[in-house]
Amino acid sequence: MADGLELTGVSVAYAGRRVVDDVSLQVRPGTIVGLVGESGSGKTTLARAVVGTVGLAGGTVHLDGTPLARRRSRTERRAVQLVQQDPYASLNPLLTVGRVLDELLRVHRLAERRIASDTAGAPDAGAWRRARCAELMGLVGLEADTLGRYPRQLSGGQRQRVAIARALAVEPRILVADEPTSALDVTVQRTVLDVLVGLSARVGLGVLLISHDLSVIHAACDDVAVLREGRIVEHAPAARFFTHPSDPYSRRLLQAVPRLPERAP
Amino acid sequence: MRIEGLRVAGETELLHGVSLAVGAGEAVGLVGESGSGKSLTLRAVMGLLPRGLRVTGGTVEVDGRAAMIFQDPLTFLDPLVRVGDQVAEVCRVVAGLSRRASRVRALELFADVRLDDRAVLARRYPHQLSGGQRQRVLLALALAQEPDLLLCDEPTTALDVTVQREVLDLLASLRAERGLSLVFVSHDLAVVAQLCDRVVVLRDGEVVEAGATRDVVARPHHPYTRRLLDAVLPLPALAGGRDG
Ligand SMILES: Nc1ncnc2c1ncn2[C@@H]1O[C@H](COP(=O)(O)OP(=O)(O)O)[C@@H](O)[C@H]1O
Ligand SMILES: Nc1ncnc2c1ncn2[C@@H]1O[C@H](COP(=O)(O)OP(=O)(O)O)[C@@H](O)[C@H]1O
Ligand SMILES: [Mg+2]
Ligand SMILES: [Mg+2]
Repeated sequence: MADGLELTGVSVAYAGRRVVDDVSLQVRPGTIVGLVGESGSGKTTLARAVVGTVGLAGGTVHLDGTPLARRRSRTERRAVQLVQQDPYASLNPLLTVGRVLDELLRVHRLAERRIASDTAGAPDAGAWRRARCAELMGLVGLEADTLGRYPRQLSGGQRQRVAIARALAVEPRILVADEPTSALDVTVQRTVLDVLVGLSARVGLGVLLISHDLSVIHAACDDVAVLREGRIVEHAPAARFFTHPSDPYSRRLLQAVPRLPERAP
Repeated sequence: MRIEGLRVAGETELLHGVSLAVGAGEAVGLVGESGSGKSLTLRAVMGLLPRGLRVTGGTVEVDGRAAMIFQDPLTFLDPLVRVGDQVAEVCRVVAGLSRRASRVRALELFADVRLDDRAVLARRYPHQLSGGQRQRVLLALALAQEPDLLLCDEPTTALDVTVQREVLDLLASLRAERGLSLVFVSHDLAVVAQLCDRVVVLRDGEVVEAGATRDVVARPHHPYTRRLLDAVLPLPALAGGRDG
């Protein structure tokens, strides 16, 4: 089996009702796969299946060729990270951004691991963590002084980038982003998408980008999968999908998107 | 409707002299980022400003009656009353219809907003409906007030794209059939462009640009309008076209 995330025939049921049904898809390192579907189609449930917070009624999830069980080890949990729609709900209001990141690095003993594997003169763990926090801010396009701020002092777009930095802190292989821009103003959507695109290219992260918004998927993704009532009805390279969708439902979705009239060049 | 130099203030001033005119049967878009004052403008017209805020200057004139629909119908609909009864109640009060006639009228309005299975739906409670159905019920409630002007505050923002398209088409045909005037608020210029001949751009409680939608989109004057336009993520044209 190849590198990255591989779902094979994944199904999830709530109280006997299948809301994700026989889904297969792959997310290779350094690529962004878009999962689009209307509300209730099963996108969030699939995200939860990928990160292991809901059990499978069928199918398998592999990471780099190794099957992931429902009960995952700490290392396995680190490897697949989730970013949700509302970063406010998931950030502790009482801690500064720097404190949250530092705590994560400490809990996972990331500094110690790094320093142990580092043959060149090792700095102390505290200094390593401080440098890493600044580096994480850089990766998501935030100023280093953001580390001193509390969530309420940040804009929606900044908070979402902090949530991405937090997911990145534990050095995941795969990032699942569930509607990461849906709560944001259109003018800041793009900055968050640019961060995801930059990360997949620069650190080889594989991203599963979930959205109901086709323009968001188009702005960021290499491949597109369309989910309808729990099933994938089309899975195609973005370059083909947006001009030549093969499934009638995909086509209907694309036709419904409001588009601007011609702009002067 | 004519708004001239509208000022609204709480502890600080929030609208700094907003002007906006809507001709009979015309559809005008009001766009801007969140916090720019779109909702306050509509609420001021309806006399529905939040507590603590008041009109401190300017004039608002409406020829005829105005009604309003909102982004989240659940905050407006009564959770404990069947939706058919809610619409019938407004018909009774506004048109002075009898109990029985108002029920018949409510079903007619449900037909006008293209709700299927009307008799069944009318007996449901708001939480038993889909988002698109709720927005249609809200629209039926607004139409029950027999308005000449409909103020729409981001009514499609929370809807799926296919449902959004249906609601936009519905508003366009109600406008054509009834000669309704519309003010349509959105943070998304692409949505506004679907429906509105003219557009007014609001930033921090001030109008920065106004004009024919086509012109504003093709040749924006204000840098803020340009920013809003640049924020619309483009999609390539679909082979075979819209209805192919
Ligand atoms: N915890 C749950 N228990 C029961 N049903 C659920 C639960 N979570 C989601 N569902 C149902 O599963 C379906 C898919 O939901 P979801 O995955 O949230 O869709 P999406 O994210 O695409 O909007 C919906 O019909 C939803 O009502
Ligand atoms: N009840 C209120 N009290 C004080 N300020 C308010 C109140 N409601 C809205 N505002 C402020 O008025 C401004 C405009 O709000 P609003 O009209 O709701 O914006 P929009 O609809 O464009 O997102 C915002 O800065 C908002 O914080
Ligand atoms: Mg969801
Ligand atoms: Mg508003």
